[in-house]
Amino acid sequence: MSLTDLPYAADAESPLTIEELSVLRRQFEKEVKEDDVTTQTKFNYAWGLIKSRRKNEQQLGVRLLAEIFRESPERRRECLYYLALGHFKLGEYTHARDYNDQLLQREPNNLQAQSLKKLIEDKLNREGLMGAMIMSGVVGAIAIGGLYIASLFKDKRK
Amino acid sequence: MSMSNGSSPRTSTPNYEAKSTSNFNDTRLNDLMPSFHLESLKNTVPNTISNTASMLFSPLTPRAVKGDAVTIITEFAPQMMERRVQQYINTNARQTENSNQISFPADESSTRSTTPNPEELLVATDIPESKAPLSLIQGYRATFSETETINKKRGKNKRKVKGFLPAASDGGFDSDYDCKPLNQLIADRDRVVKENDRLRLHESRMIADIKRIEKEIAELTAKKLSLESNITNFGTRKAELTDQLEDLNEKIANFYQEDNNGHNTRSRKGKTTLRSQEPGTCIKTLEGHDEIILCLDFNKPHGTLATASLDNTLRLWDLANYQCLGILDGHKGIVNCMRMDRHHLVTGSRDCTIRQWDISKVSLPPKVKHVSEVKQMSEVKQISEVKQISDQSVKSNENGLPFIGDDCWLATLEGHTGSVTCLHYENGCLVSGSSDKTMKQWDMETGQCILTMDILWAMSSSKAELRQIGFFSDEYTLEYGDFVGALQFRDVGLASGTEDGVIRMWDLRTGQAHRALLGHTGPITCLQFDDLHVVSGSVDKSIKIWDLRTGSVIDTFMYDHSVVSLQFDPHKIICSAGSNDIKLYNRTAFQQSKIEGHSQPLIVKTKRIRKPELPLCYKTKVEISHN
Repeated sequence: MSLTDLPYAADAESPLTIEELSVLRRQFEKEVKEDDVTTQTKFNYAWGLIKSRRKNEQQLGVRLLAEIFRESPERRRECLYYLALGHFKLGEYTHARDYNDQLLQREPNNLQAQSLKKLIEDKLNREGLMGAMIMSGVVGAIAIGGLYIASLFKDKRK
Repeated sequence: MSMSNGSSPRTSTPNYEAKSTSNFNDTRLNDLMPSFHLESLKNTVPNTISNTASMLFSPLTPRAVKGDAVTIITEFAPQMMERRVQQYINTNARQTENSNQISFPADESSTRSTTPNPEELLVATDIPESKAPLSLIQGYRATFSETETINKKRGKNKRKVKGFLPAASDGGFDSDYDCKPLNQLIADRDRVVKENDRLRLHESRMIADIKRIEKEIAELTAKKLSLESNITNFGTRKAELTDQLEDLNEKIANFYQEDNNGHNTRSRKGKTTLRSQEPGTCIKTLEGHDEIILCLDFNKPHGTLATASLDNTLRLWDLANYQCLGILDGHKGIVNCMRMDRHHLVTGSRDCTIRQWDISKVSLPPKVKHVSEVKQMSEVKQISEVKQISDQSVKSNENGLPFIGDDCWLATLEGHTGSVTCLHYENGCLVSGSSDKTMKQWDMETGQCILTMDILWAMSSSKAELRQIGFFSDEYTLEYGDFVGALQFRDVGLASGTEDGVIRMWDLRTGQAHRALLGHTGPITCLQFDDLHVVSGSVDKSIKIWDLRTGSVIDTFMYDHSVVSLQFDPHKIICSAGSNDIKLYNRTAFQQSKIEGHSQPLIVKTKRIRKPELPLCYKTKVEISHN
């Protein structure tokens, strides 16, 4: 079965309310205490965490997803997508791209994966651009500083 | 920016300059800044730009720089420092993570500050096609709509983000009623799958364990077999060695004995025959008596032997060294019968007394130097110097043999009025039969007679039956006129064989005969019984085997002459019947055979079977043969 109803990246941008997230967390912790954590509970909680705006929660969510990946072989393909999404939100675009590419290898026609890929690439390019901008700014700053010092010296001599 | 151009081999790199920078605005900066935090140093290839950017920034932070760069630095430097710190933590953590790729304990997730590296997860894990009936997100939505209904429903803000396409919703979980069981179903399914996996794992582990144990068992059985074969080898080797040991012992004893030969005046008549240990062969011949040997007994194969002969002497012999220990004097008449225990010897003689001796008091005779001479049987000569080894003066007769009667004598039992013709001594209890036609039971401690059994009275009741059998007392003559030819008792049961050919069974508690076994037609000369059978030999040249319970004759063997003495055990019966040889009857194989060795007809012979030796006496020689 190919994954047809993966959530799009936008879904991950809509955070849950505190109560909603706490419901999921309570369910998860209850199962942890009983030592009987089901994959679904873990995923629910992980997905809820990833959707949030806080970075540490997103990280926790990604970790939980990684555990699901390790534990349940049959869920691995889905997890690839979610891991990609999670890393994307965290800003780790290369990781996100790795996971996404793995998924696209197996399901080249997956719409959500393709759209995510585009998003990731956009971000990566932007990052590069930012770097370039900053570099130029730095060089400019150095030039200006140098000129100022030179001018000081000139004044001194005169 | 040659650096940026050349270092990143991304396909989209050359195009970045073409892209408009209009999207770059301050509001977006906050979102994009986080992207500056460094990936792991291992992923440097596509990310060198970010690397160099941060590397440039950190040394510059303390410097005052004008312009936008200043604001950038001052505003974002702390963040970038934080990022840098985080990066170090990341790399360190990732390095430890990489060392144990597959194990990722769940309880550590709270303490870690990293997210797992895709390399670890993707490497060596196969990602099969998803076979789950319900995808994770579906389950989530099911749960979520349930939780939404539980809590107050609030409007969710859905930001419009580029690249968003409406998500297709699947499944039939609209109503609240359906969701709850569905959620549980999903959870249950999950649990079942997990349990299944766990069981499979356990099973494979146990199978591996079982295989290992089977292998170990096979190894151990192989070891056991090899050890058992070793044991059998050792067993055979041990048997060989014991044989050799006995052989050597004999040879040593022989040496010693030959050594002694020179010292004793009474030299053996040359015959120190030592044959091999085959059954039925003669080991030793002891000589020393002048007259016919009447009876003998010994206590154990290499212990002490006592012999009594018509020359009025009662001698003790040491069977280990095959030499005479001494003469037991004391009886006033010839000894008719005797029986030996481990330390005691009881003798009954013609002088109507029974004497008890302690033979453990006898030691080897002192060594004396003699000039040995060959003697005739009846003559004795002596040229000797008696070397005194001990302070005690050793009484010796003319032959140099010590009289040890005084040392050994324990008690004399008097009471019979006729010569004591046979006796049996067992466990401190003694019964004797005599020509005064009675049998007496004695108490060994007090020396008093406990019970007297009158045989005549018992005989009178059976005379009629005897005539029927055909017993005529005048036809047979006994050389020694034993009224009571033989007796034996065990516990309270006594069997006696008398001149009338009747074996009577007595109860020692009452002193009455309760049974009579009729069958022999002549006086009984020897008998023995055990739990099952009675074997008796008689002057009528036959040996009869009786069944003890029924009292009937099982078997009869006829010989050429009257049977003089016999002994039996579960396997064989040996007897003497007037010829030169010993008759051996194998009870298990039902075969008769002979043991040769005597040179003169056996007139009197007593044997005691004690494994494995068998002293026989006839005439003047005592022969010990191996049986």
